[in-house]
Parts: sequence; C-alpha cells; structure tokens
Amino acid sequence: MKKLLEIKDLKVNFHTYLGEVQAVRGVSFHVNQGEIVALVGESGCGKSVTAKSIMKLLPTAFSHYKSGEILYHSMDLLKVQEKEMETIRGNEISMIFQDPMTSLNPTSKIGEQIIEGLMKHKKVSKSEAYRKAKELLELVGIPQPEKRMNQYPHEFSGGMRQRVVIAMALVCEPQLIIADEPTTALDVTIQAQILKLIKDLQFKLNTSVILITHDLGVVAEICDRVVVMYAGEVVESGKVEEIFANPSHPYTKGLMKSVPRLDMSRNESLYSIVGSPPNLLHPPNGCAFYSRCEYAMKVCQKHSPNLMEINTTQQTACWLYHPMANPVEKESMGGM
Amino acid sequence: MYTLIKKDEPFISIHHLSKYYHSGKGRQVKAVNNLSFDIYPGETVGLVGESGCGKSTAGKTILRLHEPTRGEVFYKGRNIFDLSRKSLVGLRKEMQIIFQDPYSSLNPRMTVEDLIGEPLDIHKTHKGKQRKDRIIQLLELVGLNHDHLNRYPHEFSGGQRQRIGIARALALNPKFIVCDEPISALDVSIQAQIVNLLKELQEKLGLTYLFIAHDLSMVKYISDRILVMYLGHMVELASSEALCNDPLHPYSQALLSAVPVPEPHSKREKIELNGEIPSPIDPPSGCVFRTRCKHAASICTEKQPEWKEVKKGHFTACHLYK
Repeated sequence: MKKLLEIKDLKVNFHTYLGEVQAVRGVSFHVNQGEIVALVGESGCGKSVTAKSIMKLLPTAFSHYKSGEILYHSMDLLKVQEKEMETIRGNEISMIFQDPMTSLNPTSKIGEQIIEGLMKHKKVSKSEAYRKAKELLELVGIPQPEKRMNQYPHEFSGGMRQRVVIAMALVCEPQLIIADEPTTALDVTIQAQILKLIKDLQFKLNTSVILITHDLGVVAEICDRVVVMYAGEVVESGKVEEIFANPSHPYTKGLMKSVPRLDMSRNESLYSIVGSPPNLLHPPNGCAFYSRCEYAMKVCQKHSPNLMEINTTQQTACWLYHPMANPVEKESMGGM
Repeated sequence: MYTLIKKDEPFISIHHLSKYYHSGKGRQVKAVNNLSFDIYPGETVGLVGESGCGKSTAGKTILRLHEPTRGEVFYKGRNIFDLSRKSLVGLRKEMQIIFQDPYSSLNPRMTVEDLIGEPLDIHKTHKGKQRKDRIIQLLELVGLNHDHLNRYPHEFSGGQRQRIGIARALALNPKFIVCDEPISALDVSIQAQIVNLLKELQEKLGLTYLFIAHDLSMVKYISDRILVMYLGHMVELASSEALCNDPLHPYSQALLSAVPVPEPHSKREKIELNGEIPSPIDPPSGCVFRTRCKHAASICTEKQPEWKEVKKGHFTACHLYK
C-alpha cells in the first residue's frame, strides 16, 4: 500500500509564561492510502496538536516546531510556505472538528457556507457550486437539502450539524480527512449514525482518514490501524485486530482493561491505572509512563524507550520488548 | 402497581413526578413526565438516556433542587415537597449531589479546605480543630491528603477535582447521593478510578445512589437496576443484567446496540435509529418514541402505552407487550 502521509520525529513546543511545554515529543507514524487510522490517547497527550500540525493550524506566535518532517506525497509540509499551504488545506487535506455547535458560522446560511468553500477552491460558477452543495448534503444524508441550505446552523440539531461539517470537509474531494473527535459531543444513537457515515464515505471515495478519539469502542468499530499516544509520544501502533487482541504496551493494556464491557459482571472489579499523566512542562527523562507502570524497571526511569518492532506491523515503545529484556519480566506481562 | 424486587421498604419513593418549564408564548417544555419508581436502601439505580431526555432534571427534582410541577417524592415516609424551608435544611444533610463538570462546580477562589469545610460551616456540625480533622478525614477517604488543604482547584487534574466534589458531597454523612454524570468529563483511565472510588464508598458508608449517565457500559457496571428515559418519559426499568441481556423496549434495544464495543469485527447486529429526538415542546402524540420506532403501529399514535410489569421486576411502556 502506498504511504499518503508520513510523520517523522515531530516535536512541537508551546511557549507559556511558565516555560516551554513539550506538547509533542518525537511522534512518528504514517497513513496509507484509503485507510482509517485512529489516534488514541487521553486529553493532553498531544493528539490534537499533532493533527493541527499536519494542517499547520497551530498559532505561530507561541508554538514552535522543534524538529521533524510531515511528508505528504513526499513533500514536507513543515517547509511549505503559507501561500502554498492554503491550496493544500481543504483541497488535499481537510479537517472535521469536535464540536459541531461552534465550528459553523452562526450568522450565515448553511448553503452559503458550503458554496463559499467550493468557490474559493474550485473556481466554479455560483450555480454550479449550488448544485454541487446540494449533492454533498444529499451524500451525507440530510433530507430536503434545498430547504436546508437556506437555514442557519441554529436550526439544525447536533447530529445534522456534524453532517454539514462533514459535507464541508468533502467539498474538494480531499485525499486525507482529519476528524478530531467527530462524535464526542453527540449522543450514542447519533454517534452510531455519524460513524457509519464516515465509514461509508471513506469506502465510497477511497479517502484516508485520521480519526482522533479517546473512545476505544469507536476505534474498534471503524478503524484499520491504531496509534496510541501518551504524554506527547507514540507508545504503540499496529493493526486494530492486533492492538485489541494483543496490546503490548502496559498503558495500552491498562486502557483496554479500564473500559467496562457490556458483558462484564458487576462483581468483577474494574481495573484502573493509578496516578495521572506527567506534566509536559517538565517531562520525565525516562519512560513517561514509568510512575504509573506496574512493570517498571530501573532502566525505565533513566532512559526513554524507542519504538521497537514486535512484528512487521505492530510496534511498541517499552523496554520489556527489548531483545535484551529479561524473559521472566515478559512472562509476567503475558498473565496480565 | 410497583411490585418490589427486594423485600425491604423503599428508601425513596417517587410518585408521578413531572416537571414542566415555561418557554414563552404559553408553551411548555415537558422535561419530566409522570416518573414513578422506588429506590431501595444501599442500591444503585442507573438513569440513562440521551441528552435532553430529562434525566438531570429528574435527578435535581428528586432532591428538590427544582420544584416539581406535579408529583411526590417520599423519603422516610414524608413527602419532601411538603417540608418547610427549615426542615428542608435537615434533609439536605441526608441527600447530596455530585455534579458532572469538576471544572465549573468548584469555586476557583476557594481553597480545598474551605470547599470541603463549606457544608460543615453551613450546617454548623464541626468547628475549629474538629473541623480540620474532619476535612482531612474526608480528603483521605477520597484518596487525597492533608498536603492538598491549602491548594486551589486549578492546581488539580480533572480526576482530582472530581474527588474534591465527592468529598464535599460526603461531608455531612449523607445517605443518598445523586451522581449527575460524574465521570463523563473525565478521561478513560481516570473514569475507572472514580467509579471504583464510588463503589468502594458505597460499601464503606452504606450509600444509596441514583447514577445518571449516558454511557451504558459504565452504568451497567455500577448499577443494580437501570431506568431508561426517552423524551421525559420512563421507557424501561429492570435489573441491569436483564436490561442489558434482554431489553424489551425498542428504544432500549437500539440504545444498547449503538454502544460501540471495543472489539474489532464484532458480529453484533446494529439497530439503526433513523431521525432525531423530537422537541419536548411538541412531543409526538401517543408513544413518544413512535417517530423513530420500526415497530410503530396505528395504536402507537393514538394511545400512550401503559407502564406495566412484563416479567418479574422488568417494567416497560410499549404496546408490543400486552
């Protein structure tokens, strides 16, 4: 499969009055053509910052790319001028934001908002744009598109607004869509509708999707591959089947176990990861998960592990998987 | 009409509780409609439904934080809506609430000591050294310690703030706590910590919970019984096993099947609900769910389904069950 996007050792810092916050600390992963990749992690782990770096939407005044490359069709987006970036944004890569209540302009009609994007990027006539906008609304499952185009965002429900936002992201038939928690603000039954829509559209249009989420259920439902982030780093990546059947990093294992399943009995106690993530103002020298890890060793405190290959598709950043790791330690992991 | 599942007397008994809001032009939003159920001592009743279904309003009205439009809530044999302001103060000690958002439910200008001490001061239960000891005791109970006494809310993470909220609710030794989506603002790994804490406290202090949430898997894990609401109406009430393994109402079935399962290529069949929740200002006639129900028949338009016990301890309101 062809790689559409590859991020190599991305580091992003924010200047704050307390000092440098190292929000993203050496993230590497790739997205193949036509696949849905999940970016999973807790709040503050750097998943949204990574996504916004791809779009170059971070505020330039206080953010700073310390190192790294973001290769899109082997062109480094971090080196591209803003002018050129404007032709990539929306046209090639587009983004769906979390909150459909705030990502639309409340003072302008839905139709106008879709047509605006079309006319800016596609150089089409207004009537052509109108026709296309209507088609898009139909595609994302909005009934009576002509009537709906003349309405304002407040006349739409949350689920319908998110459909509009998805339609707007599809305007220029992008090759990559970044969906930042697209269903977090929605109810479960509406979430199910929107997830199905994203999966259907991805299949129909063969676009690639980066889906940012903290909900492992959502990941299992529609994603092909998973990248797990913790404290600004990638701790594990692999195919969705591998990650769920065989999570390798202690953090991923902990996450899997802390979600109650519907078939779980009430008497089983729910696993919880002790403590909370480190402050990225002063990230630890060693493994960021050290203080919360049940399997922590001496080496973990001093040295941060790199991603190690478990097999050709699954990688993990944990010293337990180092070829020199004590096999006894590994066994104790197996019984987890 | 409401047969008991447990032999003992109900702890709190809710009878035909309704809460309407005026929304101008003489219209009413029927947020909660004819709610009737019992809560038994030491149990956790989960209250689930989608946003706008009236679950939070129900929780707050049961505590008389809102005045009801109709109905009664019996606690220790007395209707709490008949109590005078003065006797209501005594009741507040026994019934407490934990709020959803730990970021906005704590005063940012108060220290932890004052936040947790506030209920003690209002009810004049502890003073001086006794007060401080009690605050430290509460902090330890929720997994914090005396180092945190002089800190402000912004110095804590979401999970820790929710612990402070829980300590505040526990300060007066309540018997009954309404947990209004206490974990939905928290991260997955922290959610498990808070749920475990709530369970542990229930065992230790013999608490009774009304646990409001929209996350069915978490509700199932913590509740003995689950009540499903839709558009202000009760839809189904059963033990959590019965509700999750054998849901009767088409809405409960759809709600359960919509929960994403952390299991790739799960063979589970999805029941897709078309459309959206109608407005509670202008609810559909008859059964409120009929506009999205695939089993809807003509009777559903004409007549509101009765609340009935279909199996032992398993209630639902649907015309499918005679």
